[in-house]
Amino acid sequence: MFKQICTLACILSLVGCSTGRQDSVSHSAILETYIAIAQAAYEDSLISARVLEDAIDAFLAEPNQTTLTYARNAWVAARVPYLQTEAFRFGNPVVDEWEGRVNSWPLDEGLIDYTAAFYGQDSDNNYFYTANIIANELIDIGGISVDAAQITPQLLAETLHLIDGVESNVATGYHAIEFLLWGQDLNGTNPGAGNRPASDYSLSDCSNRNCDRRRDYLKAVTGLLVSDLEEMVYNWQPGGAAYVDLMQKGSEGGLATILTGMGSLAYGELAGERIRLGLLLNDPEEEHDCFSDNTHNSHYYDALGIKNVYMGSYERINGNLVQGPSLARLMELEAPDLAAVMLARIESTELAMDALLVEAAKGNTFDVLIASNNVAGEEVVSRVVDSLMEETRTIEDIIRALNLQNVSISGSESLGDL
Amino acid sequence: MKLHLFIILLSWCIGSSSVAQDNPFAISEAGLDYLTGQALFEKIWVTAPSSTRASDGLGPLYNARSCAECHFQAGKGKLPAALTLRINSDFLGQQIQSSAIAGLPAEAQVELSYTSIVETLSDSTEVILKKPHYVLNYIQTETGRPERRQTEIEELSPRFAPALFGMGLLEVIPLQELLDKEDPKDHDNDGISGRAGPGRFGWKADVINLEQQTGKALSLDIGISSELFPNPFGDCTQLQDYCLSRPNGASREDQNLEIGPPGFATLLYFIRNIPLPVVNVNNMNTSGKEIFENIGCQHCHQIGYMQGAINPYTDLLLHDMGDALADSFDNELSREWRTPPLWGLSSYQENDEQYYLHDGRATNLLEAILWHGGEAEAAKLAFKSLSRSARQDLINFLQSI
Repeated sequence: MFKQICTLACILSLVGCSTGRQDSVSHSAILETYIAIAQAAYEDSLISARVLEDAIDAFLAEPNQTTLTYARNAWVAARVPYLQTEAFRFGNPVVDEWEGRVNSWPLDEGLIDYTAAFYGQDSDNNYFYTANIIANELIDIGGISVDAAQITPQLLAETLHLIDGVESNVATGYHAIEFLLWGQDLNGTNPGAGNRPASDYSLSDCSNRNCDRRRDYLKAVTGLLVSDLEEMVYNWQPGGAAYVDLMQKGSEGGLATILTGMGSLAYGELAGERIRLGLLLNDPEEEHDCFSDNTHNSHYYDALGIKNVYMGSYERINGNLVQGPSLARLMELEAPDLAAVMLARIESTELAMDALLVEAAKGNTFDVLIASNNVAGEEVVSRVVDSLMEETRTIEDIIRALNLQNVSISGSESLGDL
Repeated sequence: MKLHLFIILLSWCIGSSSVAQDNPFAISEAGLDYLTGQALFEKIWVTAPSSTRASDGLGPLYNARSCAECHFQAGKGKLPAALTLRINSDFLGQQIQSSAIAGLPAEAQVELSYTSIVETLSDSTEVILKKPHYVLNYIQTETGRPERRQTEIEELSPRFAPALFGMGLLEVIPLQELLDKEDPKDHDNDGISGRAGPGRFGWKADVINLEQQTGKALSLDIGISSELFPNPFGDCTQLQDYCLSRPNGASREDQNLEIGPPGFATLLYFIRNIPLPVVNVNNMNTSGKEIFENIGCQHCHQIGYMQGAINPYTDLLLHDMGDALADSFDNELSREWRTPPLWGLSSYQENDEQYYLHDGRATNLLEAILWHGGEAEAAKLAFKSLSRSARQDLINFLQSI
């Protein structure tokens, strides 16, 4: 508590020092910063996905524990910039419609590769091999026969997309790659991540059968992620679909989009669907990055992404800073009290997220924290939910203070009373 | 041709996004419960076994992978994806599941076609009505292998996914208020003999409450077991051993169910609280409302429950709706349908495609009215003889509620 008060005081004094009343922040300048951050963060996501692709190529060239570890590390690193882009998802339909292809959850892992039939128990001898794409050149999916002789990006993106109707994407994206690199996390709510052997990709000493097809799948799905990210980088360039959409909203509509994205991610998506649902179901794999046990980072960087777009500042993966006129600055000028509250909310979310990282470092990853009898864990996780909820309330206050019209934070009714 | 049809069928589903239904709660614990339930409503169930203990258990046979797939944004579905076919088969069970988990054949592919019927109104306006026909392709046989031939099933009852808003309000109407409206022997001689079914939910008024309805839909449509419907194999029958031999998603942690009691309760909390679309009462067409009452629509499409607090435009009773709407089940219920609520009609009027009636056959309100028969025959005839402008007033009224 003392630390929070202290931090708040520091922030307030900083604001006091640096604020001159003479300058103002135009809405369009704030939007320019927002777009610059989107461009940089999606570019960073693409750069790190290409690094991941290289690491996977190196792993496939010589599958062993070392090259597998490099590939896994590259995946964890690739999540860092991507998760910070999630603040752009809500409010930008171009992003939201595309998102399922790269970040779909839950993953239909049994459709992809072998799974343990008796999850969470002694499962070594109970693997379920039969009905998955890696094991079958011809397979019934959704009741339709599919020719899967060649595992290509087209098969994954187009055929499976069509076959499974609503969300094809259960077979593609970051989480499919994650499953292929880690395998299932068979530790339940006990510590430990997935532990797939490197030999699952060995042509000479293949474990768990069908290594050639598993290699094809990993290669195809990684290539698909890279091309999907290329598409999104392009969407944010001048003339790209997301850029044009945003410009057409005008500067007020643009600000509304920023705040919609912040609030929808914080409340409905993060506090609700990704965190509280896991707590409710006590399901170890309701965690978002379940195979790698990277969920604490997933939540942390989501929250950082919200902070980025509000503060108008993003630290690129090469350490460079993208910075510009921001909502934070606008609020300092227009409603300094509310601006201070918002900084305190962001700070308190950060502290709650820090606690997740601290627990993870101790071995108490998110799946351990949400176990049904883990009272201390529940407290840590509940604090994250509560602080995100408070942060969203303040985002609504900001929307009111700026008198923005036609804003809806997905999942909240209270703005309807404006 | 068949492939083409199937592609059309699938293309309906694609493009559904997780747009939030307006949360009736402010940012709060209750609001988060609602959202968490909504997340379950939109959850894409996956094949067991998977790491996602709480998300697996799909099928083995299914019509949809999520609730939201058919109850699009918690509203109505779209044809043909949101249509299920009830059957009465020792082998295939209570319903045709047109999808199956990887490695299993589906029970059948449904081919939907229409024949046209021309209705002429009193002012000579002609309206084309489309009568649906269902043919099953690639139907499963007891060998576990699909037959390529087309099959007509003798006993078939199509059911279209209804909108879910306001369901929680229908649930709290006291039973006596519904029974008061019953007139099974038509003692008042108005030609309308509404009678209560075993329950107030479902197109045949056969489900007693939302808990049962939700459990039944999870089981029949998605293949997910819950406390009231604990069979993890959903609608697989004892004869479908190719289906029963599959792994299922039941887990000890969830009391050997695919969705445990806390998850189910949260899903139900969402469904019970989905708010009605906002209606602007100033836009209500008052002369249309008068016509609605004068020609007898309100005999079945009733309002004013609980001292006027709940106004769904339904009596929730079963009525004989005539041969044209009857299903082909060999029982006394084949011509009977439970009056559907009309509240929320305003929310469809902007949609490119609209679907009305129990099988979604009517593409607009005019067609929907003209399909009425049986106990509603007199009201329909009265409608047909209205002037063009009076007809339009009535439809404008319906579009505003």
